[in-house]
Amino acid sequence: MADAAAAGAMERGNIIEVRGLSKHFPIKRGILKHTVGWVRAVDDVSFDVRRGETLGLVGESGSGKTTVLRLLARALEPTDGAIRFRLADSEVDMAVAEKEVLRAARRRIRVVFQDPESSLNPRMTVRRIIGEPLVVNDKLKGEALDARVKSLMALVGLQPEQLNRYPYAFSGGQRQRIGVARALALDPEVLLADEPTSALDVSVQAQILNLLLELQRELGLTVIFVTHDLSVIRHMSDRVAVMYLGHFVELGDRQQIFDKPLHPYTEALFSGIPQPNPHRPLKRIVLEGDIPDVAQVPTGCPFHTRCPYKQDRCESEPPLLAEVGNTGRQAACHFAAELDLKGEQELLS
Amino acid sequence: MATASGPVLFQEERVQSTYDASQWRLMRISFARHKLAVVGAVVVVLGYFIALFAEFVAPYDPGAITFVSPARSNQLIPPKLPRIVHPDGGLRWFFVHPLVEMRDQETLMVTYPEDTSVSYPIRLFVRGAPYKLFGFIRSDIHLWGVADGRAYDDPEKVRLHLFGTDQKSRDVFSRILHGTRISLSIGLLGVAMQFVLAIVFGTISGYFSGPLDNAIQRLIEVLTSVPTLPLWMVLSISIPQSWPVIRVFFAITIILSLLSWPGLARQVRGKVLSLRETEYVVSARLDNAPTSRIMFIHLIPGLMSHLIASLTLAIPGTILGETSLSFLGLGLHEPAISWGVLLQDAQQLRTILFAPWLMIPVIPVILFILAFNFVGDGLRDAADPYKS
Amino acid sequence: MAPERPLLEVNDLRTYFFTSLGTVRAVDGLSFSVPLQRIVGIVGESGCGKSVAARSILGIIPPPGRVVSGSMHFDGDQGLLDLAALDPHDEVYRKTRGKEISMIFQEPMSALSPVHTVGDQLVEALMLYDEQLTKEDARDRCIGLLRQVGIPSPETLIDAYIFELSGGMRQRVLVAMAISGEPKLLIADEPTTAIDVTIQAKVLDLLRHLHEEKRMSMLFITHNMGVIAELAHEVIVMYLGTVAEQGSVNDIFDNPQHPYTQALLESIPGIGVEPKTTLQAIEGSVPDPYRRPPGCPFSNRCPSFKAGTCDAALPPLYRVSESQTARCFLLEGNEVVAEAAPPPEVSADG
Repeated sequence: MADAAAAGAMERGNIIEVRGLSKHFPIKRGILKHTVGWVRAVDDVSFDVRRGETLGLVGESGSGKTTVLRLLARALEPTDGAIRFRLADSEVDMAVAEKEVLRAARRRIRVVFQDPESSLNPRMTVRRIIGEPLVVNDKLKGEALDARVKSLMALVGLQPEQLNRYPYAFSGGQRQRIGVARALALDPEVLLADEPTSALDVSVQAQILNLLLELQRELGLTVIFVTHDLSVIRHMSDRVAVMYLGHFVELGDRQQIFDKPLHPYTEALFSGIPQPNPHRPLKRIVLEGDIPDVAQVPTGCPFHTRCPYKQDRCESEPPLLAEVGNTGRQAACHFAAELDLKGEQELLS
Repeated sequence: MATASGPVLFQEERVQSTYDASQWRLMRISFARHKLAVVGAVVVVLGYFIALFAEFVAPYDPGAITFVSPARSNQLIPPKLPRIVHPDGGLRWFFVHPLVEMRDQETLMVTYPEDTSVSYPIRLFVRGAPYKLFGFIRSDIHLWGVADGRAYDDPEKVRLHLFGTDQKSRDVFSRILHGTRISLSIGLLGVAMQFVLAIVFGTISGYFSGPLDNAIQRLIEVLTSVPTLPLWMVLSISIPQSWPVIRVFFAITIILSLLSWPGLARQVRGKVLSLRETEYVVSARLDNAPTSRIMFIHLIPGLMSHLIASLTLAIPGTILGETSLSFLGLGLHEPAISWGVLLQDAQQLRTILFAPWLMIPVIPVILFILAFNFVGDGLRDAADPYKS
Repeated sequence: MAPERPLLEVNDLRTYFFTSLGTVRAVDGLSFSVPLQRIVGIVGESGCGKSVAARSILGIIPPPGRVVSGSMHFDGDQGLLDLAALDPHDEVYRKTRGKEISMIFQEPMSALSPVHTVGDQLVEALMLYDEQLTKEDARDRCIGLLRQVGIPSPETLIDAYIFELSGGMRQRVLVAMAISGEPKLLIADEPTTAIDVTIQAKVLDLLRHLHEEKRMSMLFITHNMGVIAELAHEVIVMYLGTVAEQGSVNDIFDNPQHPYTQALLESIPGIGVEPKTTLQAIEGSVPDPYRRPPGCPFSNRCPSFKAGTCDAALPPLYRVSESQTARCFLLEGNEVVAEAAPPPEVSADG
């Protein structure tokens, strides 16, 4: 069934094509604020997203996953690259879109933020929070606005009669529902979800994941889901991209990646997930050292300082994200085809 | 549609009314928990009440001169508290004895013993000097005073000088109450000006980073690096002596606020900088909200509560500024009455030695500065009612 | 075999916070024990009182909180002490805390001083525990400790400041500090929550290794079921200040009896769960601490809720097996281990 869905997505083609996307932040020092270096938060990243699929972006801190998401929404100005969206009624390059084009695109590309605590203005009632995009874009007011807000609240499982409450009167999970309702207010095609459950309790996380899955099915949304939690990525994604220090190190079908990763970093990530099963702990691949500073990305392969399979070539020659054999999967590792890495099941003892 | 996670079964039997409460209500609740701030607020409100109704609350006209002995005009009469114990031993309602001027034959010092043979009770709502409240309500009723039945301008009238008299034999207590008017309103007016300047420059500087921000920052740095007192002095010396009191008052207010807004503007800028990056502002931007909407709906309300707290804490600075300028003779002059003007009398060591009560105007200065600080602290804590 | 006396035995502990909005019963009738040389894991969601429980043991409850009743018997160097009966500022308590019972906090940055070097802080701690120690010896011991927690080239790192270290390194320094007094009991409060997966794996390995090497007892607090499964021997599942279920790690994961434990385990998108299917979520959310549901604290979210029973009274603790107990009326008929005691009448100034 999953295959059929994937095939369907393939037919419908790509909705997003990202080419050579980079975001470099200057490091400024001194009174005169001269630039002494660059943080390459996202460095020359290219990928496609298929219509109707969920692409999971996973990585640890400093990997640049949230930056990629913000660039897609143009919440940040990209340093370089193209972000082509093939929306239902238009084609936009978000990297360079201006004014009216950007305004129109932002109606279709919406963000769900990580922390419902800070993504809702505490001084506004739910009516105004969810209604803001409607007021700004569709000039809705009065009864029409109320009716739309109430139907959105019902859609995400909130009680419509609570629309005059302030965010603090809701629990974390309910606040995230408010955030989702606002994202849905303008009938989006693409939902960019930035760690939407990492601020929530386990028991509530499941509610939000279910809500997102159901909404996606019902509304035919394309979702890009950013998180550091591999279990969530496994559950939510059709395809998975693994990021490390601003680079994509692996990209491919979820099942294939979890069954047999092609990049050593992916394997190490899998082996690090604590399993809720006392009988079958994972065989752990312990990486050397910590994640390097993003301002000082190692030369060559960014992962070579910690990679258990490192060879001389890795120190000098940066591997490119490229298709491995004829698998339809991409990995940025010189030895992707040769290494026999273990998937999640094999890592279980 | 019920969501996958199930119907909204347990969405709160929370019917607590505070869940619909706005920010201001929550602030009020949390302010009320701050005991000292409430005390401060009472003092402040009382102060502004006195400032509004000084003519009514003060027992005497601040310019009226007291004669104990008609021959002398510069009589420094020491403070006298009303009594309740009558010379015959019984307790009575508050009353005063008239004063007699005596000269000690050896030291030649003038003293003012009481003539205990007569006593005059203190009454509420007595008739006294006529005045015009707010410039148009004519009255001669004072909140309290000595009831002796004689005309108020009768030099023989028995008077009560709670805080004594100054060198021109005017009632210090009444003058302090009248001084409240200028001293407290200069704080309020000055802060209102700082508020406008700080919001305009702070928000612009914080929201539009880049050259505009840089220019404003440098301006602020220059302004804050100028030593305040000398600049105040230079500016206030340039105020013509011939100006009427009202114009001098505004000039002083402007001088004081021109130099103190940068600190506030910095605070506003910092707050805007942090608010600008909060997810709700980013999300409003992604909602296509125009800049004006983001500023007026998201940013300024977000910093308003903090700003009000900071402003309250800035009032004492302005009050002190006026007091110091007037004390140094650079601010307001007689016939204007402010606490600083009153303290001019206490400039000479000799006067303080003979008439220490001329220092009393320091007490309201300290009292109100403390009160404003308490209120400001309370407001600052209450400013973020969601963080509990 | 006569049962050994546990290192720490907490009995009916209640820690309340007296706020202007009302009394928060953060820990409300918590009983458990930490046997010698075992790792006990406390698992629960935010607001379940797991951190407050840890802080109660250390006597570092900030006002307006207070331990209002219960006992905490600790079998240390100074004999059997009831920590609940001691004044937190008491000399005996101070000697126990830090040296015999130490704690690793969630946020290393807030637990370490930014203006002192790693060495300064460690040496100070060491010299406090052992007054005969000279500065040089302490420094040597320090380097040894840092090496023990897996810090590379500790000779140079000892003179570094905390902000110069990465998150994983900071957490290691914190671990080194916690074990510097050779504690009998190490309390770890979410020590891996703020750090990345690959680093978390290393810190967990380090803790397990230290436990095996030093045979020290550990109380491990987390919200992560995976971490619990990996590390703990015995598990306590907390909900709203009290024990929902406790048992050996196998009991809890193989044979959970309390609906809350079951729901927690089912709500995790683990390896066996088919992707993109509906997860078994728990309805609603953890109640506001000021408005707990009557009866069983889980009653308003429980899928097995029985009106008239569950909302009428707090269920007693029933025995499931020799090693497992659970607080749920579904187990009615089983042996009652402990009746549910009503909360004591206390006031803020008590």
